[in-house]
Amino acid sequence: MNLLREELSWITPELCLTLFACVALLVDLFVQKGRESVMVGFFSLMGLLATAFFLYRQYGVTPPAQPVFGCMVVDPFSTLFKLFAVGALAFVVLFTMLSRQTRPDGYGEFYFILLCAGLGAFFLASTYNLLLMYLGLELLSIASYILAGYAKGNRRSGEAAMKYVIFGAVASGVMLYGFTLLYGMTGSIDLTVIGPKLRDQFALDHGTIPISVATGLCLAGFAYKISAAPFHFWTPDVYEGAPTPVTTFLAVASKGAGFAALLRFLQAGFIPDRTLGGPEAMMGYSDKLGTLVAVLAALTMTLGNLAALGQTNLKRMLAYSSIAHAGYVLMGVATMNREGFSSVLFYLVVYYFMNLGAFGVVMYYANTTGDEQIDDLKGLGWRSPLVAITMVAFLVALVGLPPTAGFIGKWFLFTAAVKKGFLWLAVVAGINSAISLFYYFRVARAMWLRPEEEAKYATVHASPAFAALLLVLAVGTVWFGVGFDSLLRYCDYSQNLLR
Amino acid sequence: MPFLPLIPLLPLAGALACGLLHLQVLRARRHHADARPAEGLIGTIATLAVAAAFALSLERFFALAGSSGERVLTWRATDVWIPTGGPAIPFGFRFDALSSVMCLVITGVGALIHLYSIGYMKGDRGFARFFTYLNLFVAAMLVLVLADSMPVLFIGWEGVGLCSYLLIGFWYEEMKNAEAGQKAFVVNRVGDFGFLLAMFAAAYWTGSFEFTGVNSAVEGGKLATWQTTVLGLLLFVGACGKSAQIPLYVWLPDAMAGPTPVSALIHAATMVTAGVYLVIRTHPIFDVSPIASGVVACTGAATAIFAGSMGLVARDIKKVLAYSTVSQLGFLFLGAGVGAYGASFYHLVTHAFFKALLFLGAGSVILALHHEQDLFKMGGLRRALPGSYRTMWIGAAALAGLPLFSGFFSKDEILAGVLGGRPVFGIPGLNWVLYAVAAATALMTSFYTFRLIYLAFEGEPRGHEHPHPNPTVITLPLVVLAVASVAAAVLGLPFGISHALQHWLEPVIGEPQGHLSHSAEILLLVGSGVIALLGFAIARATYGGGLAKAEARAAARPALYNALSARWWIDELYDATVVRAVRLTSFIAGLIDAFVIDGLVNGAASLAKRGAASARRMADGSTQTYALWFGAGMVVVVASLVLLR
Repeated sequence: MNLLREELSWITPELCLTLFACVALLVDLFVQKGRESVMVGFFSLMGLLATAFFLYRQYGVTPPAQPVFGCMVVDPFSTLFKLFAVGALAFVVLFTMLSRQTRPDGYGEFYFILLCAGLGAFFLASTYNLLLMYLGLELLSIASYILAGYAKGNRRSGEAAMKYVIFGAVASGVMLYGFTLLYGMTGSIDLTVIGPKLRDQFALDHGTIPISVATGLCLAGFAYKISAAPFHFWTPDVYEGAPTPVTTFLAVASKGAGFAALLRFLQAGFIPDRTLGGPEAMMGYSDKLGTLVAVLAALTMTLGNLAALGQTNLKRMLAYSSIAHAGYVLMGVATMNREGFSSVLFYLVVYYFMNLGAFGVVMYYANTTGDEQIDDLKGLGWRSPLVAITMVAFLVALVGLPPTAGFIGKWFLFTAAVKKGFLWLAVVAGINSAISLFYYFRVARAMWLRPEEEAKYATVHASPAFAALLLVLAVGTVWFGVGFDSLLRYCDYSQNLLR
Repeated sequence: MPFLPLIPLLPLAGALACGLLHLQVLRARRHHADARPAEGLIGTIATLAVAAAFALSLERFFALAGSSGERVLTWRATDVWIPTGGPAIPFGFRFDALSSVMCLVITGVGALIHLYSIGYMKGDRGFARFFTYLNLFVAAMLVLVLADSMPVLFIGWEGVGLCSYLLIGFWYEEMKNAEAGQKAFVVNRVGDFGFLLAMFAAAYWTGSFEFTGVNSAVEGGKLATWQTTVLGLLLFVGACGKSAQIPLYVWLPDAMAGPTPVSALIHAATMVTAGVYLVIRTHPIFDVSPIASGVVACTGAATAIFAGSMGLVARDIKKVLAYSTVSQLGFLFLGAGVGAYGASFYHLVTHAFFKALLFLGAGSVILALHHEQDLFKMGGLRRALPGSYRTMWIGAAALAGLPLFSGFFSKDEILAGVLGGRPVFGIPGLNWVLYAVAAATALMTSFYTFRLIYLAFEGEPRGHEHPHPNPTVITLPLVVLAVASVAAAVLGLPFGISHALQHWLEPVIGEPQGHLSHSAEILLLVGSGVIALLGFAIARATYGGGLAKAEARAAARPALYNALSARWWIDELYDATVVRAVRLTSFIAGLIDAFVIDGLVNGAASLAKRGAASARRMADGSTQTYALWFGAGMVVVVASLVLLR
C-alpha cells in the first residue's frame, strides 16, 4: 500500500486533472440552465490551477528513474510540456467562456472532454512506454475528434470531425504498426530498453531495413500529429471547421504534445548517447534520420506558407500558418542534438503566446461579427485599436521580426540548424519567412491602412476580460523577445533528454 | 536612492498623459473636425511634471551637497541590463556634481519654457502633441545627463534627437519644416555614428561601458596614446553632431523652423549642450590626448568665429540667435579643449539662461507681430512691448558680455582659460591665436546682439503698427530668466571672490589647470569689458540711426556683405558636393533597385503566387486526395530510410 502511495504520488497532476474533469461533468448536472458556461468553466480553471500547482511542485525534484511501475517518467522535460498544456487549456477554457460560437447547451461535457484531451497530452509527454504513449495519443485524438465536431448544427464542423477521424485512424494505425515492429525486433515496449537493443543491432550490422520500416511508420504517425507535410492535409479543413476555441487547442496544445512525444521517441531510440558512444552504423542512421526530418521541415514550411498566401479566410490562413510553423520547429528537431532540441522547446513556448493571441483575436472577431474574412477587417484598427494593436504584435511575432519573441525563437532555430550543417535549410526557412511577411501583413494592412469609412463593422468591443487576456499574451510575445534569458535557461534546463 | 529614477520618470509620465489626451482629441475629431484639446489641463500637467522633476532635483541636490566624501548619489536598476560577450551593460543613474547642475538647469529652464509654451501654443491644433513631445524631450535629456554608462546615455542621446526631429518638423504640413527636421535628423546620425563607435571602442579597450570605468582606465594609463586619441576624436564627432560644430553645424539654423519655445529649450539651452557635457564627462580622455583636445579647441574656435560672422547680417530674428548659439557652443568647446572645464560649464549654465531668455523674448515679439520674423520689418517695439524689451535687453547684455552681467564673467573665464590653460596641440603659441579668434568673436557677438535689439525695438515701426500685447504666462518666464541671467554671475566671480561652481565641480573635473596672475586677470577682464562695449557702440552707431543708414553702409562693402549673408555659401558647398554625391548614389541605387532588385522580388513574388496556386489546389477538400498524399508520403518516408545510405 505504501509502495502504491509512493508511486502514485508522482502522478498527482494527472490524478488532479482527472478528478476535476469528473467534477466538471458533475457540476454541469447541478447548475441552473444558462449558467453552465460560467460555472463549469470556473471549476475547470480551478482544476487547471491546482494541476499547475502540483506540476510546479514537481519541477526540479529528481524522481526515481521510472516511477509508477515503470510506465511514467517525470522529468523537467515532461513538466515543461505539461505546464505548456495546462497553460494552453486555461486559455482555451477562457476563450470558450467568452465565445458564443460554442453551443449554448452541454457545456459540462465540453469542458470534460477538453480536460480529458489535456490528460492525453500529459501522458503523451511523460512516458517512455510505447503502449502508454499510444494510449495518450488516442485519448488526445478521440477527445479532439469530438471537440472538432462540437458545433453539431454546423455542416463544416461535422465535416471537420469526420475528416479528422478518418485521418486520425489511419495515422494511429500506421504508428501502431511501427510500434509493433519495434516490439518484434526488441521484445520490449519500453523505449529505454529498445534504445540499447537497437544499438546492439546496429553494432551487429545486420542491415537496417526492419528498423527503417519501423521508424518510417512511426515518423509518419508523429508527422500527422504535428501536421507536417505531406501528412498535413487534414489540418486546414479541421482547423477551419472546428469551433475556434477548439482550433486553438488543436493548434497549440495538441501540436505541442505531438512534438514532446516525437522528441522523446527520437532521443531514446535513435540518438547515440554521447558518453557511451555508439556504433558507426547508428551514428550514420541518426544523421540520415535528421536529414529526412530536415527535408520534411523544408517541405512543410514551404507548402504551408505558399498555401497560406492565397487564403481569404483568416482562420484557414492561420491553419496554414501553423503548418508552416511546424516546419520551422522541425528544423530544430532535425539537428538531433541538444542545442536544436532546446531551441524547439523555446520556440514552442513562443508559438504558444503568438498563436493563442492570434486565434483569440480571430475568435473574438468572428464572435462579434460572425465573419472570418481577411478583407472584412478593413478599418478595424481605427475602430478597435486595442484588439488591432495586439493583433499586430502577434503578426509581427509570427513573421519573426524583432523585437518580439518570434524573432528570438527563430534565431535559435536557425543557428541550431546552421551549426549542424543545414545551411540550405536555414536559407529555405529565411525565404519562407519573407513569404510569410506578405500574408501576415495583409491582415495588418487591412486593419490599419484602409480608411475608417471602409470598415464593414462598427466597433468590435473587447470586453475587459478579453482585453486583459489579449494584453497578457501580447506582453508575453514582446517580453520574451527582449527578456528571453530566463526562458532560455529554463528551456535548456528542461531539455534534459540529451547530454 | 529611490528618488533618482523619478526625476526622468515624472516628465515621462507627463508625456504619456499628454499623449493619451492627444489621442482622445484625435478621437473626438472624428466626429467634430474642430474638436479642441483641453489646453488648461494639458499645459498644467506638462508644466507640473517638469516642475516636480525640478523640485526633486533640488531636493537631491541639497542631499548631495550635504553628503560627505565622494559626493555622488547612484542608483542601479541592474548590473546586467544587457549581457554581452564582453563587459555587461548596467542600467543606472549617477547624480554627481556635474549631472546635478545639468538636472537643475534642464528642469528649471524647462519648467519655465513649458509655462511659456502654454501661452505661445494657445489655439494650436497640435497643442497636446506639442506638450507630449516637449515632456518626452525633458525625460530623454534627463536620462542623458543622469546616465552612468555610455549605452544609457545613448538612450537619452537618441531620445532627445528624436524629440528634436519631431519638434522641428512640428508644423509638418509645410514642406520646409519637414525638410528641416529631416536635415537635423540626418546630420545628427553622422554624429551618432561617431558616438556609437566611441562607445564600442571604449568598451573594447577599457572593458567597461561605465564612465567611471572608462575614465579610471584612461587615467590609470591603461590605454596607449593613439587609443585615447581615437576615442577622443570619435566622441568629438558625436559631440559635433549634437552640439552643431563644424562641419556638422548646418542643421541648427534650419532647426529654427520649429516653434520658438522649442528653439529656446532644445536648440539653445539644453540638447545642444549635450556634446559639451559629453566631453566634460569623459574629460580624462581629452586630458591625456593633446591631439584630441587640440582638435576640440580649434574646432570650437573656428565654429565660434565662423558662425558669429554669419550672425552679423542675418535678417531673421531667430536665425541671428541660432548662429549666435552655434558660436557660443564653439566657445564652450574652446574652453573644454584647453582644459578649462569649469569655465566652459559655467558658460554653459549662464548661456542656458540668457539664450533661453533671448529666444523666448524673440518668440514674444514674433507672437505679437503675428508670426513676423524679419528684423527689417520690425522696429519701434519698445513702447508696445516694454516687458519684452527690458528683459531682452538684459539677455542681450549678458550674451554680449557687458560688464557685471553673467555672460561677462563666464565668457571672460573661458578667455582666461584659453591663455592660462594647457597648450593646444602642445604648441604654446597657439593659445594666443585662439585667444585672438575668441576675442574677435566676442566683438562680433556684442555687435550682432545689439543690432538685433536696435532693429527690433528702436527706431520707427516698419510694418506692423499694432502688435498685440503678451499675456502673463509669456512675460513671467521672461522676467524669471532675466533675473537668472544677472544672478548666475555669482556662480563664478573673478579674483576668487566666488568660485562656487568650480569648487562644486571639482569632484568631477578636478582642480583647474594653470593660473594667471592677478594683474593678468585684471587686464583680461578690462579687455573683455572694452570689447563688449565696443561692439555695443558700433551697433548703436550703425543701427541707432535707423535702417536706411545702415543699409547704405552695408552696400559700400558688397563682397563681404554678400558673403556673409550667403552664409559663406556653405549650404551651397554642401549641396554641390555631399548632397549631390548622395543624390547621384541614390539615383544609381534607385536604378539598381528598380531593375535588379525589383525584378528579383517581382519574379520571386510571381513564383510564390504560382506556387501558392498549386499548393492550394493540392488541398481540394476531398478525402481521397488527402489519403493519397498520406499514403504516398508514408511510402516515400519509409523508402528513403530504407534505400538511401
